[in-house]
Amino acid sequence: MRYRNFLYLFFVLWGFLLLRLVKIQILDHKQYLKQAEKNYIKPLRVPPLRGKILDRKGRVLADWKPIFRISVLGEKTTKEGLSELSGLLHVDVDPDTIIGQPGYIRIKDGASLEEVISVEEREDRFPWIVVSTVPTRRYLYGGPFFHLLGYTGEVSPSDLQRNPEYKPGDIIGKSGVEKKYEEVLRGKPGYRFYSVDATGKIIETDPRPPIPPIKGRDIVLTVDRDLQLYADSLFSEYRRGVAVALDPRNGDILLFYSKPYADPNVLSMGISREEWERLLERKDNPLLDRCIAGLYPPGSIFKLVTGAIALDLHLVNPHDRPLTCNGAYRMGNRIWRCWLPSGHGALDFYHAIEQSCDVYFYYLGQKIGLARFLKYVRNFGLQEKIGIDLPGEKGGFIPDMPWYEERYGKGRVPEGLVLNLAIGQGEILLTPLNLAFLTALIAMDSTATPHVLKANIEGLTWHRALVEREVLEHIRRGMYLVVNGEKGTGRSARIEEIEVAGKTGTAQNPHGKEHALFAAYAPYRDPRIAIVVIVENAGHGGSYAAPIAGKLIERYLKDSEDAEK
Amino acid sequence: MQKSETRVFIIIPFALLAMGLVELSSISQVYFERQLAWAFFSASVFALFSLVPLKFWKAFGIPIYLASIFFLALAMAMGGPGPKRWLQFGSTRFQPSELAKLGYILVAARVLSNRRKSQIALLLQLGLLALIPFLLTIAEPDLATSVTFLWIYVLLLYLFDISPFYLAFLVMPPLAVMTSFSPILFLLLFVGALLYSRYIRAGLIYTVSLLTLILLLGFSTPLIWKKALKPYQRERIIAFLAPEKYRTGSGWQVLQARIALGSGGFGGKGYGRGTQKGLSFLPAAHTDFIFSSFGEEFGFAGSLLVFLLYGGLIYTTLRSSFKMRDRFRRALGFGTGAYFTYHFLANIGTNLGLFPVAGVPLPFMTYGGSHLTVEAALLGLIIRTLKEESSSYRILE
Repeated sequence: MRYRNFLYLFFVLWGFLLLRLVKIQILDHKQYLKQAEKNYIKPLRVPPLRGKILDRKGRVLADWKPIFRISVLGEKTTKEGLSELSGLLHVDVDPDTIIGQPGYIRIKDGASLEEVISVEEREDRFPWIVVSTVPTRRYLYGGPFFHLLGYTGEVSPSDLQRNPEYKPGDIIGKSGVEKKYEEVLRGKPGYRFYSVDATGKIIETDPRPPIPPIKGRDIVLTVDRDLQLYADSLFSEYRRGVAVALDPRNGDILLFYSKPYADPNVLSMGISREEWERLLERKDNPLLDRCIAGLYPPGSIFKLVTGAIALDLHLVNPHDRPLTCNGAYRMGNRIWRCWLPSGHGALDFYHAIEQSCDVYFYYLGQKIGLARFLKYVRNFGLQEKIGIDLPGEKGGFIPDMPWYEERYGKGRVPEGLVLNLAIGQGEILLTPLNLAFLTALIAMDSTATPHVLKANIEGLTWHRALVEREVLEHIRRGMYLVVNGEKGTGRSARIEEIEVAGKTGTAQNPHGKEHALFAAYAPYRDPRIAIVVIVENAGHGGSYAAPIAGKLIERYLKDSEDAEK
Repeated sequence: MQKSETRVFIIIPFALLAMGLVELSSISQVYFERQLAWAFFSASVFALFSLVPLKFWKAFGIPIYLASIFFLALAMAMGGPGPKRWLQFGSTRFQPSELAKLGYILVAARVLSNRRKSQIALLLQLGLLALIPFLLTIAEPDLATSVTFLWIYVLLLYLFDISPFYLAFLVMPPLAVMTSFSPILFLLLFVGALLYSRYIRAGLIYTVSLLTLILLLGFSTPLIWKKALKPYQRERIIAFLAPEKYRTGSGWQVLQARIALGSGGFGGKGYGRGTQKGLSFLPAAHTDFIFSSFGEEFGFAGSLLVFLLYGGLIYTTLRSSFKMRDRFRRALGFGTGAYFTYHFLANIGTNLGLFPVAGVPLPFMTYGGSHLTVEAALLGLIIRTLKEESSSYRILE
């Protein structure tokens, strides 16, 4: 019965197909349903609102503004379409990083309305694009806050590897506060869903309820907006410089100003590779945060350190006049000159600081001796990072004896080096933050680690000056005279009604005019601000840096008095 | 008895046609309207074939067959580069290979109706008649369609009691070709052939020559595969073996079809709500993959109905043909049954991901006029054979 055999064979095959159908449509249904959804439901990552950054009085320094973002569905993107699109949008894109990649990939932020319209008009050519409105960082005051706040930018491949929460195209903090407090500020991205057809064209928006993004937390900084902007206006006639101020009572950074700077609003929108390289190649280095990474010879400000060491070692009585300055100092068969060729005559410790007499401090330096001097200075820890809550901080450069021995040979290090170091010239380099911290220590005997994020007083780490208490009092008296004494070098920092104590510095610089430095604190008997101002290649500290410091102190103290009233 | 069978041959195709039309209207209004027009045309073809006496078709089968061969050759001659499956007549396209299926069934039935022919003569005549359209369609190239002729040829011989000695020589070589890529399957075939020749008590010479043929084909096929097949044919078969690796192309289609079916689940997504075909992930939703498209929207319940309808149609076709006393009528019925079985198995098998994209239509459901017209003609012939068979009974009684 061949007919019957064939019928059996057919129905065996029919049954086999039916079993297969049951497997596909019933047993594996869920898995195929997921695949079908994945086929047409595409998630678009929605960036969260980044937390706002506020100044110490709650005034907004950074918030957001809406921009157009254009993304493409990588798996549907075609090569021709992409090159046409990148031409329309004036962006460089690497097709290899987009074509065939799953999900939406951001290709332009901040597209203009014209660009959005021209893209949407050609919808049939790029069915796989989506235009969304997303928040982007807005820095209300731009450049003056660049080094403090930093800027935001697209996550880099190394960031992606470090943190699995990041996805390509995410925006993260790249420097400054934005980088340091990224975790707090960033929030959590959400998703929107789109149904697309096989070409990637959006058929339906929100086939699934969107997952809303979670806003990042706002943070309050210790800086004072007005002080920062005032510093910028005071620096308007100088090309390069730094002003750092802190509250010596708690380490709050009040002012964090470094010039030149870049515009964070521009950087955060993403700039081209060429523009970025041009920025890097600029001689004045606008990306360098001079406050914490600029290394300067401290100049005469370092006489405060030399003096403190000498007093701590009881090498000199501050009331004595151990020698007479006639404009030069002799050690062995070499002559070291005082900055005042006619000489200062016989001075005690306070007046030596007041008039910044080099000869007096040559004498102290020689008495201390090179090895002991270096040991003492390194003991202060100025070569280490202070630990401010900002990325990129550098420690000072304090050489030690082995370093000199390597240069000069063992036992052949000239003892005369200590004379230069004693007046703040030579190899020692410090950051402005080092100097401000030092000033705060002198003003208060002890201070907290400088920080830009407002913190509870209990959470602070405290540092003590590593010298006897009376030593600091002698130094403070000297600093008082610098500004208020008859022959003080920093008299231009004087302000009405407020007693300022400070120290000028003029750092020799092989590349041009000297850097003008001034470190100060005020009020003299009740310090509430410690400040360092450096004007690069300007000249004498007393003439250029001190007036700026005085004005900044005045503005800050008057403002806070107004606030207290 | 005959009456209920007649009813089956009208109701089942009509139901399938209606289901196809519903799904086509869900895919595109344009397809629906065109197919509806074809359905009306096919209805008149059906009427024509069921009303004209079989005597006429027995004679007229030869011109139909010759015409289809002519058109196949014409399509071959006129076509540019790429597949040459179509002939353009004004605004409509026509697939000569479909007509050739009808023509072959008619001439084969005519040959088989002669009971005085020797088995070897039948085998050679039918083989030659199948070989011509087979070669012309395989050259188009359209592998799956060309196999239709071989399938009908072998099945007719089998159902008309051709000696197992001949059958083995017909069936084993293609199997040897297919299994030549898998050493295990090939070994199984070889052992199977050996046991089969023992079972039919074949002599030594027969056994040795059969086995030699199998070995020869088994070893030469891989060489031909590499040298003679078109890359696109090879690609289709490879894509079938690992569809996930081919995100685009035919492997992608097979995968998308399975996703469409599977995502439909038991109850389906509902009319017009299939995302796979609706968002055009399923590229040939209206042709090769209408079953998947239907199954996506109407679920397992819908696909099961399709299975049952085809099972019923094929069962009735084969059963009623078996009961025919007249050899011509029986051959027509078996030919038609072979046509339905092949198209059902190949098309559904493709939709379920068991075969590479075959490109054969699902009878009555797939969009397209050529196959629908031929199927209407075949149905008309069946109705006619039932009518004439019952009237000849009456005369006898």
